[in-house]
Amino acid sequence: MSLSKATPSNKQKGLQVTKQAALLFFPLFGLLTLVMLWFYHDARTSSLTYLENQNQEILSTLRQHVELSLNHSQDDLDLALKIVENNIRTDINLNEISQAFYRIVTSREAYIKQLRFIGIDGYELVRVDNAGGKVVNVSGDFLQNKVDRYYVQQGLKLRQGQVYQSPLDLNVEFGAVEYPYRPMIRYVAPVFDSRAIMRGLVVLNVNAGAMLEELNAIGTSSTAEVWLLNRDGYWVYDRRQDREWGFMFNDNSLSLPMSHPDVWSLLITTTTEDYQFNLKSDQLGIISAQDWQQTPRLLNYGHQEITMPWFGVMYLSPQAIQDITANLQQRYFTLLLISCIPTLSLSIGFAFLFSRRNDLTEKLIQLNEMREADKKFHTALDASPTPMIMVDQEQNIVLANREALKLFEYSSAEAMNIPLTSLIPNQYKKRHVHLVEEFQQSPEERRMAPIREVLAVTKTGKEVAVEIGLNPVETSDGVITLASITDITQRKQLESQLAKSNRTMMLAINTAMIGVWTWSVGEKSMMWDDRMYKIYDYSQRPLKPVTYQEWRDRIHPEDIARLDRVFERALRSNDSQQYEFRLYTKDGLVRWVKGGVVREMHINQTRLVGINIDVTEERMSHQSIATINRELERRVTQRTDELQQANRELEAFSYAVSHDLRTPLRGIDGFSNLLMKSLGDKVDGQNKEYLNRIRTAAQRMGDLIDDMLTLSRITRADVVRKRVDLSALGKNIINHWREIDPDRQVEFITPKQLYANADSALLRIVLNNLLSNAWKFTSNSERPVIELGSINKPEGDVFFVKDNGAGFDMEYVGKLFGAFQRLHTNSEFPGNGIGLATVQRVIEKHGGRVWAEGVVDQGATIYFTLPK
Amino acid sequence: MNKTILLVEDNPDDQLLTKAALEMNNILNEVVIAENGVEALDFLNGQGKWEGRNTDELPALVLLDLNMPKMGGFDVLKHIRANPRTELLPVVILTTSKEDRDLVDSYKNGANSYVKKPVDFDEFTNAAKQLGIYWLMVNESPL
Repeated sequence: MSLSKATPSNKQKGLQVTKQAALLFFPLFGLLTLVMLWFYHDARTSSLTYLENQNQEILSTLRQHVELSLNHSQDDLDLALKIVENNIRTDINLNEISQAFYRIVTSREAYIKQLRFIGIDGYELVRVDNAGGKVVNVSGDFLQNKVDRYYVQQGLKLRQGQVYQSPLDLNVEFGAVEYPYRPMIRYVAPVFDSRAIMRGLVVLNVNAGAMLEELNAIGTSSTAEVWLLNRDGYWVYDRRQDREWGFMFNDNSLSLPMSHPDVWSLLITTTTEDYQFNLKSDQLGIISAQDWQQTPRLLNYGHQEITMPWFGVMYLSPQAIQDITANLQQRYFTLLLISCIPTLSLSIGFAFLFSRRNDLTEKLIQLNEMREADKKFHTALDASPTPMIMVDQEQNIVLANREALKLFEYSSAEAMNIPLTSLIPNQYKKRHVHLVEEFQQSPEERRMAPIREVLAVTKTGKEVAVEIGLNPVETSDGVITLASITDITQRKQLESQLAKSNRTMMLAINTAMIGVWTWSVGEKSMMWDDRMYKIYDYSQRPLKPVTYQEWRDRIHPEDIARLDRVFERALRSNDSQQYEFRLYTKDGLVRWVKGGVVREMHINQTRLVGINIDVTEERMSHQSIATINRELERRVTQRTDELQQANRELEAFSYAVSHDLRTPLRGIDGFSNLLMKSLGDKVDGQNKEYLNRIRTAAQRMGDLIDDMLTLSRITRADVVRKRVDLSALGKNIINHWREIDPDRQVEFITPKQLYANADSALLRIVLNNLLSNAWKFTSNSERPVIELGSINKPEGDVFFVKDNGAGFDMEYVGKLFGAFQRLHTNSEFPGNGIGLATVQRVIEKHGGRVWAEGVVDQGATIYFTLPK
Repeated sequence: MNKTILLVEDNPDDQLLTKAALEMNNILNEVVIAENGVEALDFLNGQGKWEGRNTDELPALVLLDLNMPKMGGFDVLKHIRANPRTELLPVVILTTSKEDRDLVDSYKNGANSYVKKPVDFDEFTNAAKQLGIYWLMVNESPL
């Protein structure tokens, strides 16, 4: 494709092509006509030759037929002859002959006209006539003398075994030709007796009309006329009956020698070897002829005497030939007309080719120059990284560069001359057509057409987003559009990704309340977003953007130097810098801000892009939490100290109690004792009782103090858990009581081992209390039993100490574990009411539970748990 | 001759009761009473009240209370054990305290026995008897 402006216009080109096509077409058509004519002639000739051959064959068939008929007639004659010969061997009995003849004629009534026996004097002896199907045996009165007739004369000359066959002619009755014509052949055979003396003649009249009718039937199957001519050239059979039988009327004009002497001359020169011929001439038509007399006999019954003295002729008149060939002519003419169309298209095609070739030839030099330019243009176009296609006015692609082919997945050949719409998805085709029309109406205005984003479709049906820049190029062929295409599928994807990440970022910026700023280094003013203004306490965006200096003025003086250092670092590297600083609000309050800044190289300018987040609240809450924590810690320490102090005081108190309260008691007891001893007998019973009471009271108080100290020690004690065998502990305690109180018989039931995870010292206190109580409260029982055991429960083991002693009223179970609470008087069971309180304290320190069940005078059970 | 028993005890009641308990068990050794720790050391070192006393005559047994004014029993015990002259002296802690801590501390500081003074005088008498028999008759003193 070249963009030559010298290319002739389409109209001129069309005229030229038409001329070229006409120049090509007419000679071609002439040639074609000649060829057709030749073909036609050839076909006609072969068709006529075929006809001639067919005619010859028909003639042969006719001849065979005639031969067969003649043979049959001779058979009839032979039969009649034999009957007569047999009859005359003894005595002649005309009656018998007559009857036999009658039977022969009847059996062959279609052929035999008359069968007679004629005496040598010429008189008819027997005569059987067939008058149109009615066979009559003619009696003596109607028999005639036929001695003067030629066939009798001829018969009388015959020798034994000879037969006379008359020429084919018409029957003559009473000296005139019988009408309607009755073609007849007469056979005459002489009858000789055993002495070889002629006794008469058998005459058979054969109705040749039947034979000729059969010929007619056969002959009419052909388009040609069938003639049968006798040896003199008269017609004995012709479809045109007016030419028949001329010789019967001595009219020699109705003979072939007169009408067609040339044909006749050919007929009479035939020989046995060359008995048939075909004659063809434009005036005459076609004549196929056979001389049947010369023809070899096909059927041989021994009738050597059979003669067929006729010429068989088939005649096709020029008119008949015309009729036959007309069809052929018509066929070839149609063929010619049909072949006109491809010839015409071929001519036009060649004309186009020629015209193009002519174009090329004319512009060969110009083209050579242009080809270089073209090549460069193509190379440049192909090398262009931008896909480009050129579209002619019919919107067909006339050029596509390599990138375009790659983009649309076409091969170079495939892309040529396909419509541009092939590259447009179906749903956009309508719109595209509209756009094209618009563009074509005003291409100049759109010389640099706005870039459009459209969807295109590749050969494999893949849709690609493209941007198309349309550029009309005017050539003498019209306006060609150069479309540069940019595959923006990837860009689209990037754009959508970018939009997505932008949205995400905006969400982040908005949610985190991040202010964004940009500052082109050295510029006076900065660019802030709305959030920035909010952070810096502006009620709304000011009309003039904030300046760098204004911003700096808002920074806390202590932070400004650090901020400058951060910005310097940011300007030197690609890494982002984080920082925190204080700013003043318009009211002069301090606000904490967290910032980040990064360098951005923008063409030949460096910019700083940064974010600010107001972290004042965060910071404040951090501070207050720290304060609260410190305060809490301080308080905890204080409380701990106080607690430790209280503990120390409690310990000191306990210590004092153990020392200082007991010492006076010891004095009371000791001196009471000493008094009693020193007074000896001087003290009476009453006073002795008083002194004892003093001592008992002192001792009880001592016990009380001991128990109270134990209780308070337990409160302070740490629980150190390990595996303890409660059973072993229990046995130990019971044994101790048995030693102290050997008079009592108490049964003690406990498993071999009873393990618990507990503080061994504390558990000893528990068991000591419980078992001692049990020992104590069973003192009035008849058969005292104490049991230490456990019950397995899903939530853990439940230990118990059970006795069958005094028991208690469940109504007072609530008082059981209170300190100094007692359910029995001291005189009943001694005690101070601290034991179970101590037990409860120990169990609670283990995280367990203790409870009691009891029935008065039946016993009590104390349960406790020791969770692991 | 019978050696003395040094009773270091600030409470006069206890002084009297201890002496009575010893006498009731026929432990007739002379009982020297120190009112407090300082006096106890004075006696052992021949100082103060006991200026010029022959310090070679060590008591057969020291009965030492823990809670005393001026100088407590533990300090006395430490001094006794620190002095080579008195370090082998049998010292029995005789106290009202039932605190485990006191018991452990006493043995740690080199006490030979720890006896709790019971409220019941009969029990106290019994304890005094046991002490006397053991430390004055059964036990072989290195001194």
